[in-house]
Amino acid sequence: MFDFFHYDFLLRSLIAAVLIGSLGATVGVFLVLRGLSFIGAGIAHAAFAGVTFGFLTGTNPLLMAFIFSLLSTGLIDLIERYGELKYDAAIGMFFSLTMALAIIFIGLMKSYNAEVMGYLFGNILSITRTDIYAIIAVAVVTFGYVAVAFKELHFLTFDLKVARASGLPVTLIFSLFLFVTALTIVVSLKSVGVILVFALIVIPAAAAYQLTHRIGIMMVWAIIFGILSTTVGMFASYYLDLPSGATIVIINSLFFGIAWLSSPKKKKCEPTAIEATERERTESQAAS
Amino acid sequence: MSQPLIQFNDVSIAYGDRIALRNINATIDQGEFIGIIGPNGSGKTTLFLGILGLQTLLTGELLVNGLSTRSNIKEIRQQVGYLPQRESLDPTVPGLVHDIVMMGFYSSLGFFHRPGQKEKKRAHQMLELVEMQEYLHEPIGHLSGGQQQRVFLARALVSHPKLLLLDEPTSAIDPGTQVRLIELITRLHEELDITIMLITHDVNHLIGRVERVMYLNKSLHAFGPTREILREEVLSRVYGQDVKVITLDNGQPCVIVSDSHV
Repeated sequence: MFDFFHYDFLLRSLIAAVLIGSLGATVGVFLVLRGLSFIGAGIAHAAFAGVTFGFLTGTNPLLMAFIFSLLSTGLIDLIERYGELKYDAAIGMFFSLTMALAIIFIGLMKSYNAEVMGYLFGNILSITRTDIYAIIAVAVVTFGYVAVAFKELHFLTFDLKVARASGLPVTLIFSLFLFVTALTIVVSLKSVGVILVFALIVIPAAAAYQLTHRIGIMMVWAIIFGILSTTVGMFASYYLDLPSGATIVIINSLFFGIAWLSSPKKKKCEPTAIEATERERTESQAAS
Repeated sequence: MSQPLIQFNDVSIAYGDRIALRNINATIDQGEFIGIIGPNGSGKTTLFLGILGLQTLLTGELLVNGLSTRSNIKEIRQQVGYLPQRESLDPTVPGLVHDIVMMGFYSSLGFFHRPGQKEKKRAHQMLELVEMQEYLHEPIGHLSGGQQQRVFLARALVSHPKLLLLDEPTSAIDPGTQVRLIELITRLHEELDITIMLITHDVNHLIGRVERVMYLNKSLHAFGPTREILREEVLSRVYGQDVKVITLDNGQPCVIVSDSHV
C-alpha cells in the first residue's frame, strides 16, 4: 500500500476515481429514474466527436468535447420538446451522427493518434494534474447544483406535469441538469472511455434502486457503489495489469448483482401492490 | 353574492393549427362544484391546461381570481391544486407518502429552502383529511390506485389552493373505490369551501353532488344546473349513444348508456 501512494500518478488516479465514481452516480440517479439512461451514451459519443475534432484542428480536445456534448444535449432537448419526438429517438439520432463525425475526423487525421484511442477506451492511471483540476471544478458545479435542486429534481422525476403546473421552472431545472450531466461525462471520458462511461451513470443508480424506496437513500447508495467500483476497479487494474475502464465496469456490475440478489423490492413489490388493492376492496365492501 | 373565480371570455385554445376549444364564454363562482363532461378529445383536459397556463390561449382572456393567465400565471398556479390523469406520473420513482405530499410546497418554498415544521404539520393535517395518515411512511408505489389518488389530493391541498382541478380522478379504479373517492371529494368541497372542477366520464358521480355541469365538445355546448344538463337528449348527444335516465327506488336519478340495437 505504501508503494501505491509513493507514486503521484496513483494518487491522482485515486482522486479521479472517487470523484468520477460519485459524479456519475449522482447524475445517474435522476437519469435512470426518468428513463433517460441512454442519454449518457449519446453525450459520451458527442464528446468523443469533440475530442477528435480538437486533435484534428489542434484545439483543446477537452474544450471541444464540452462544446460538442453541450450542443448535442441542447439539440436533443429541443428536438424532444418541439419536434414531438421521444427522447430515445432524438438521442439515437445524435448518437449515430456524432459517432459518424468522430469517424470522419479520425479519417481526416494524417497519422494514427494514440491519444484519441485513449479517449475511446479510457485509462484512469493516465490522469494528469490538469485533468484533476477539471474534475474538481465539475464536481463543485454538479454537486452544488444537485444539492440545491434536489427536491425539485425529485418532483419533476416523479410527476413532471404537476411539477410544471405547480409553477416550478421545470424546463430550466432539467436543462441545467442535462448541462451538469454533460460536464460529468466529459471529465469522466479519459478515465473510463467513451464506450464505458455510460456504465458509471447507469449501474450504480440501478444497483441503489434495488435497495430502497427513498430517493435520498438511493442517492447515498449510488454514490457508495460508484466510488467503490471506480476505486476497487482502479486498484485491480493496477495490480492485475488489466484495462482500467473495463475493470471498473466489471466491478460495477458485480455490485449490481449483489444489490439485485439482496433487494427487498424483488421479494415484496408484487405481493404488496396486490395486498393494497385487496385491502382497499375489503374496506370498500365493509363501508358499503 | 358569490364572487366570480374563473372567467372565460371568448377563449379559444389550439395545438398548432388544430383548434381544441373554440369561443368559450363562462363564469365560475367561488366555492362552486362544477362537473365537466364530454367525449374523448372534446377539450376537457385542454380547458384545465388553459387555466394552468400550460397551453397558451389563441384568442380571448381567461381570468382566475381576477388575474389573467397571459400575464400572471405564476400567481395563478399558486392558487390552483391540480390532479392530472394518472398516466402522467411514475409511481416506480422512490418516495414515501410523506415525501410526495411535501412536493405541494416546493414551488412556493424556492430552491434554497426545505420544508420545515409548519409544512410538515400542514401535510399531516391534509393526509388526515383524506384518511391516509396511517400510510405516512409507506412507499407510494405500495399503495393501490385509490389510495394513491387520496395522497395526490392531499398534495394538491397543502398549499391552500382556491381552486382544485381534478382530471378523471376515478379512472382505472374499481367501482367501490370510485364511489368512496367521489364522496371524499364532495366532503372536501363542503369542509374546505373550495372551488372544484371535476372531469369525469361517469355522469352518475355528478348527480346530487355538483351544482352545475359543463358539456364540452370542442366548444361549450351546454352549461347549467345538473338536472338540466343530465337529461337523456343532452347525454345522448354527448356520447353518441342512446342514454336513459331512470329513477331509482330512493328517488335518485341514474344514467344508463344503452345499446340502441338491443
